[in-house]
Amino acid sequence: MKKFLFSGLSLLLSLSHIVHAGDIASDVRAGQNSVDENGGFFELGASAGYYSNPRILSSDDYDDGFVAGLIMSGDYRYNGFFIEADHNTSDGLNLGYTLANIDNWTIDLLAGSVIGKVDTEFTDEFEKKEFPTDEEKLEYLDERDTLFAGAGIRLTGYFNNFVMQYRLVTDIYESNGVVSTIRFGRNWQYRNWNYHGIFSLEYTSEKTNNYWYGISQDEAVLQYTPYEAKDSFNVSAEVGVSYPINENWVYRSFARYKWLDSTISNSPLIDDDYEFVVINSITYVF
Amino acid sequence: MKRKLTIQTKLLLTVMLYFLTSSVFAASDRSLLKIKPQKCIALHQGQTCYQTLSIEALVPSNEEYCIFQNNQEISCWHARQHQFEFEFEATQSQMFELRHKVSGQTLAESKVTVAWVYKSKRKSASGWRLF
Repeated sequence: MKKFLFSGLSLLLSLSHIVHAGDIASDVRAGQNSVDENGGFFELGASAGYYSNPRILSSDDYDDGFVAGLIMSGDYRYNGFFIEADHNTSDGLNLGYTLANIDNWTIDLLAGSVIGKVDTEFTDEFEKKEFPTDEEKLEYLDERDTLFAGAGIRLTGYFNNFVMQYRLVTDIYESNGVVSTIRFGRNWQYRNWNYHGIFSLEYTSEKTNNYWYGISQDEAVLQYTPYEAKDSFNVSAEVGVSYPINENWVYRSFARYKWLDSTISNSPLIDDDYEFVVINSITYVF
Repeated sequence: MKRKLTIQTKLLLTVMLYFLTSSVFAASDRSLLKIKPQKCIALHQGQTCYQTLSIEALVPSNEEYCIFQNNQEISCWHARQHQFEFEFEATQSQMFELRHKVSGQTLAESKVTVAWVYKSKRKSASGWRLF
């Protein structure tokens, strides 16, 4: 059951990982609060674009180049509780509760801000092996868990077409550290085209970076020597546009560039000091 | 046989002539206001919606007629037919009316609906909440 749940979750999150952005991205596209009225929406669609992945992994899934996929996303609120699965988010799937709306500010409690993937069966099998071969180690480095289930707080300020968001979460899946971000977004409307820009500064703790980018003695193979990461600050910038084709269909496009801290880019698992993605999508809104 | 065909032909011609003259008469007597498209789509409820409208008016005389958008005059002319493009900008649906300039009589009307994909996300009352 656990595997089934995680498999479903992993599909959703792997999609959102490719097309990721921030929940601030949803708000900044709207140019307004994503607050409190009960209800929501669900979207189905398709996306295509280019993804430059800094990870050096043997799996074809991670190669640089053309990416395409199906989109399932949505947003629902009820009496302060919310679930956000925006396909343009950096923060993955968010479950939480809105604690307060004070003037232009909203304070959210995040019970689960989930990103990454997990395959417990695969991990358990690897960990049972006393002397894994290099081939098995390589496969493990490709497929090992990246799930980060953050719980914490989110503070969002809305000022006309500007949105500011601070987020602090700690991993509750396997205590893999802390991630904190501050983001600034701005929306412009030209005719029925909605343009947006987001600037983001992200802090990732040493423990989290080692979970994602470190290599332990047990995992090391010839080409992937042991590596211990430190904490990091990553900067990213995003520009995008949304256009209503009709009452149900929406076209979106965005490009995001993320500068990676040297403690990440120095990892043997990483071959670039940046991550870049540009995605075009069309979704049907229910 | 020949005589019968002639009567049929005459009857057919009479009927055709009747419909032809009546339709010409109706068109000359009727006022028309055609707007395309009749819907403007914005991404979010409350946003200003933009749409280039093609507006065509047909009136019964060469007197002065005007088109109003929610009681604001947007175009006047002296001719039986008037066609123009109009840059529509509104946050809500708008009523367009064809009126006689002097009498103010409304001869025809047409509505342009403003629709959106995502409904507005209203903020709840300010303050702390606990369930």
